[in-house]
Amino acid sequence: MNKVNRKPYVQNQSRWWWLDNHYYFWYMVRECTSVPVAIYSVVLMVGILRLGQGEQAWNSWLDGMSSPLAISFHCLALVAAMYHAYTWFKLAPKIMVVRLGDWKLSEKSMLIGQWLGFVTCTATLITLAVSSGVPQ
Amino acid sequence: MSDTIKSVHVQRYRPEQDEKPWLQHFEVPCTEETSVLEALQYIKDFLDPSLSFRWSCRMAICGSCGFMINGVPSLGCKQFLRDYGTLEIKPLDNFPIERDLVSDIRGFVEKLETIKPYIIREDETELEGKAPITQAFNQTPAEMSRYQQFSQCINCGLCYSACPQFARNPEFLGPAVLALASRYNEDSRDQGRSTRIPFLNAEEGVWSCTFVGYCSEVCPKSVDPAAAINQGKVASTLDYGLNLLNLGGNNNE
Amino acid sequence: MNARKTAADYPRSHEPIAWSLFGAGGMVVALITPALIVITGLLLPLGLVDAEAFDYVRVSSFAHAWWGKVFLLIVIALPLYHAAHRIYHALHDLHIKGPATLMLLLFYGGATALTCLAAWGLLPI
Repeated sequence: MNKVNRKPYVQNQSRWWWLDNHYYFWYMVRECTSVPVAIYSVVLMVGILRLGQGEQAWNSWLDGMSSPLAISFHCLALVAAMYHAYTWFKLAPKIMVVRLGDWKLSEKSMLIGQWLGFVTCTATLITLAVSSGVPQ
Repeated sequence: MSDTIKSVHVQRYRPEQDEKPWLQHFEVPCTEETSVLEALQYIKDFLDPSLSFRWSCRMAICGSCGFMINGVPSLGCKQFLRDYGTLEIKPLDNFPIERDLVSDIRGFVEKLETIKPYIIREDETELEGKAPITQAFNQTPAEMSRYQQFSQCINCGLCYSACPQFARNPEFLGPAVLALASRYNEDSRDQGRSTRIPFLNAEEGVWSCTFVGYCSEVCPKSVDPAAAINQGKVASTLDYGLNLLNLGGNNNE
Repeated sequence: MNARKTAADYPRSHEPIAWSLFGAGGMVVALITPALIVITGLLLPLGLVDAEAFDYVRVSSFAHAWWGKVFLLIVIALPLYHAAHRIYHALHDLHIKGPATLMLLLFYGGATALTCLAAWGLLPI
């Protein structure tokens, strides 16, 4: 290849590429849901540590969970986790293809199956948490 | 329908005189059926013969006329002026610009060659010179359905323009190449999977992908390369596990 | 023209380990975390459930049981690996660079450290 007359113009990616279109923007939102998720894991972990320190420490953790800051954070975390769930269930059928011989589970069935799983998990956990007769 | 006039901005880059690309404005008459490619041809024929762009079939099968049309990677022949107010036509994102709307896709073509995008038979050498072409390799419709979607690729490169990971790291093999690797790996007639899976296993293989998914959105042939790559991650993970447990898998050598 | 690259030019990535943890964590975040946030972050502080539900004895006995420990460790650790993986890659996407080993240690190492801390806190309960 004769390089003498060539002068290709290289297009470099801007660090703000994710603002170029709404598709990229919502991708970045999806990735950012991991930040509140990580913080929530730390909140739970602190709860475990406080639980181990005795009743007083546990009750002060419970008080902390009632602060306006904590409540606002958990509202945000819930929105983040739900957006994650929405995108996750949508993408999972494209990644995990379920086949048995010539039969293939359709993307739609898998999507519905995952949402049914979500409803079951959510209902079970909330029922167990609020009912006083939880198995001990 | 009578002609209407549309405002078309075309990005120019003439390497011998321009330091960087710039936009040139044209007024193009169009009817209901005028495609973006035809608008460019009108510009070249009647307004500015120095404009360079690639095209061939005019029917979305050759994959030559990919441009950024109002910021979206699209085939010029598959988009129509009637669907736009004003137009801004630029060369495909993420590839070096050779001239005007012509992209340098050499890197893409070289990557395509590395993954051996053709049916490989273990018995190939045995059959050499013994007319293997006449041999029939039967395939059921179910077997065909495993790869058919991925085989629709026309190598237009729109998915590379849509991929921020390719923009971030041009060494990434990218959507079309990895989809084509899956296309042959999933073909029941092919026996070359073990020669292709090392490419999937690499950082520059499936593991550069973060499932942005825009590649599948812009694909003019609904190949869904994002699905192919992410199914490739499952295959690569299994291979990694098998290799770790010494149960087979590939050693990437 | 450059010589065509071969498989030998492509060393195997160790990403499958990170990706498996990311995937398992993503499923936990999608299926279980929303309910947990509702329970601990909203129902509890807003007084929508009986305070007895979060009584020290009741929660302790839950964390004391082996299956309670396993559950708690899973819902804490896997989302941490999931998040670490995403943040690690998002920083790359945003052109925020750091020494490669340090970044790996910071995120995947951080998730491992927090997991160990949670396990350490859980064991004596």
